[in-house]
Amino acid sequence: MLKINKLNVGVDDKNILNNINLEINKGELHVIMGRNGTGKSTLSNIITGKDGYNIGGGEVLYKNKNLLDMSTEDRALEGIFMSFQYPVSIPGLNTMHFLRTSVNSIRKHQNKEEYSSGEFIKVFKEKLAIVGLDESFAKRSVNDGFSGGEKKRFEILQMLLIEPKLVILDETDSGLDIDALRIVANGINNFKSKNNSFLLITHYYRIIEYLNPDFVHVLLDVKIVKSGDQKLALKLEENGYGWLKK
Amino acid sequence: MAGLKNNSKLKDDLIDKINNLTFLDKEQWKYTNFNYLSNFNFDKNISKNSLSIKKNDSIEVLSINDLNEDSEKNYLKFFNKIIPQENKFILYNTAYFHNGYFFNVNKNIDDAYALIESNITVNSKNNFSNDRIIFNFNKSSKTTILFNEKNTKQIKNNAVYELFLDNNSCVDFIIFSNQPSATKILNLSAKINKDAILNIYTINISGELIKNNYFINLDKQNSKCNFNGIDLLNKKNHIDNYIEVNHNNKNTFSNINYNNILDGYSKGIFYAKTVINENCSQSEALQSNKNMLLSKSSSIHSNPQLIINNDDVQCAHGSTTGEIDSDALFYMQSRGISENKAKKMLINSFLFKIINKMKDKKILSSINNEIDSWINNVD
Repeated sequence: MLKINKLNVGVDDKNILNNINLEINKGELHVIMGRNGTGKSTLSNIITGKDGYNIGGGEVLYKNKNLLDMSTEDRALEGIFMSFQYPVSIPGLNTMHFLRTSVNSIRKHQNKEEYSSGEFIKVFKEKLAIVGLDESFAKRSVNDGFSGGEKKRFEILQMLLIEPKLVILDETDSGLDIDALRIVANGINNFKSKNNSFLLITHYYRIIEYLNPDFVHVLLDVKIVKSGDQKLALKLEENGYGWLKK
Repeated sequence: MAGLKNNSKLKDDLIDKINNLTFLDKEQWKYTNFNYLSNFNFDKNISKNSLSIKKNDSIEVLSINDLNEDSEKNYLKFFNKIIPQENKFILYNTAYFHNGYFFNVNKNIDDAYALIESNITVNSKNNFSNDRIIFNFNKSSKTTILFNEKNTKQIKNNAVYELFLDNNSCVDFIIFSNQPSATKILNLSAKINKDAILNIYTINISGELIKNNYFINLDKQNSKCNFNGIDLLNKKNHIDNYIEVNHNNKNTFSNINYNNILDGYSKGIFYAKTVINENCSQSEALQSNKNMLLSKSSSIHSNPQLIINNDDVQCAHGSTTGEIDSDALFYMQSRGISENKAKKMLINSFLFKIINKMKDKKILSSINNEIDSWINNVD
C-alpha cells in the first residue's frame, strides 16, 4: 500500500526526517511514537501533500505510484485520508455541504454513483451514530465552535463517510476524555478491515490498547530508531524514551 | 411639493453653501478622489428616471409631487431633520432632488414589505440623478425593505435616505447593488427609538465608483443596529464605505460586520466610527471588518474606530486582511475537493455568515445566486 524508501525531508536548512524507511501493507496498522518535535507530523504532512517541505532524497510510493508527484487532492481521490491533529475551523461553511462535496468528489473519481441529498442524509445519520454526534451537526459550520473532542470525532466521521484506503491518524487521541477516546477507537475499529491500512501517530498507550497495531516504530532525532510490536509501546509507556539512546 | 421645491431662497442658500464646501472637507471623504466629479452636473433633472416600487398594503407610499396639505405637514416633520448638512452631495440632493418618496409603514403590523428598483435611463453621461426617500416605520411594525439595483448602464446616482424607527419597530433594510458601470453616492441616516432594531444589509457587487455614508443614531434606550455588509470587487471597482454609529442613550447596541472580497485592481475602503457618548452606560459596540484579497493588485483601507466616553460599556473592534486561508484550503483539498472548488466554497462561506441572518429567505436565496455567479467568475 505505502512504501517509504530512504526519505530525507528538511525545512529551510533544518533536517526534519533522515533516511526514513517504512512499508505499510494492506490490512496493517502501524504506530509511530516519539518525543515532541521529532518529525512525526512532518511525515504525515508529506504523505498528505502539504507544501513547505524540501524533499532531500528518497521516495514515497503509494500503490506503486510516486506519491510525491501527486497533488493533495489527487492523493485524497486515490484513497489517502488524514485525521488532522488540529482540524481547521471554517466559519460559514456548512458541514453537510462540505461533507457531501468531499464524499461525492471521491465517489465520482472512483466511478461510483454520487449520493443524492436524501441518500447522503441517510448515510450521514448512520455514521453520525457510530461517532456519537447528534444530528444538529448538520446545521453547524465546519469545526467552528467545536470542542476538542467534537473535532476529533468529526475527523473520524469523515473517515467513515469517505472510506479511504490509507488512513493517517495524527494524534487523533490527544485531548480526548476516556469516553470520547473509546468512541473514536470504536469508530476506527469499525472501519478497519483487511482492505485498508492505518498509520497512527500517538504519544499514549491507551489508544494502542484499543487498536491492537501490527507494528510500532519509534521516531527519535529525525530517524526511526526502533521497530517492534505492541510490547514496544508498552515498554515506552513504562520507561520513556531514555533507554533507546543507550 | 410646495415646501422646498418652490422655495428659491432656501435653494439659493444651499447653493451658496455648496460652493463654499470642498469635496474633501472631512476625514470620511479623504480616501477617494472626488475632484473629477466637479465636471458633473447635479442640477439637471433626468426626465426618464423613475423608481419602480412594489409593496404590500402595510405600507403607504407617497410621491413628493402628490402630497396634499396634511401629508406635506407630516413629511416636513421628517425631511432633512437627521441627515448631516456639511456634506456637498447631501446639499446637492436637497437642492435638486426630483425623485422623492415618503414611505409610511403602519403601526402594529408584522409583514410590511417593499421592493424598490431603479430604472434610470441615461440621457447624458454627465448628469446625476438625485433620489430622496424618507421611511417612517411606526410603532411595533416589522418591515423588510429591499433595494434591488441591477442597472448595467453608466448611471450616476446621488441618493439620500432618511429612516425613522419608532418604538419597538424592527426593520430589515437591504440594499443589493450589482451595477458594474455605476457611479453612486448614497447618504443614509437613521434615527432609532426605544426597543427598535435596524438590521442593515448592504451587498455591493462591482461598481465603478461607489461612495456610501451611513449615519446611525441610537437615540433611545434599548435601540439596536446590526450592520451587515459585503462587497465583491474586481477590475477597477472602487467602493468607499463610511459607517458612523452614535450611541446616544443607555443600553444601546451596535454590531458592524463588514467583509470584502477584492480581485483585479479593485480598491475598497472600510471606515467605521462608533461613538459611545457620556450618558450611555451598559451599551455594547462591536466592529469587525474582514478582507480577502484575491489578487496582488487589489487593496483595502480599513479603519475600525471606537470612541468611548463611558466606562460602563462593552466594546470590541477588529480588522483582518489576507489571502484565502491556506490551511483551510489544504484541509479541503485533503478531502478530495479541487483547489478551484475549495476556493469558491471558502469565498462563499466568508460572505454567507454576514448575510445569513436575513429574515426573508427568498431574498437571501436570490442574493446568494448573484454572489455565486460572481464567485464562479473568479479564476
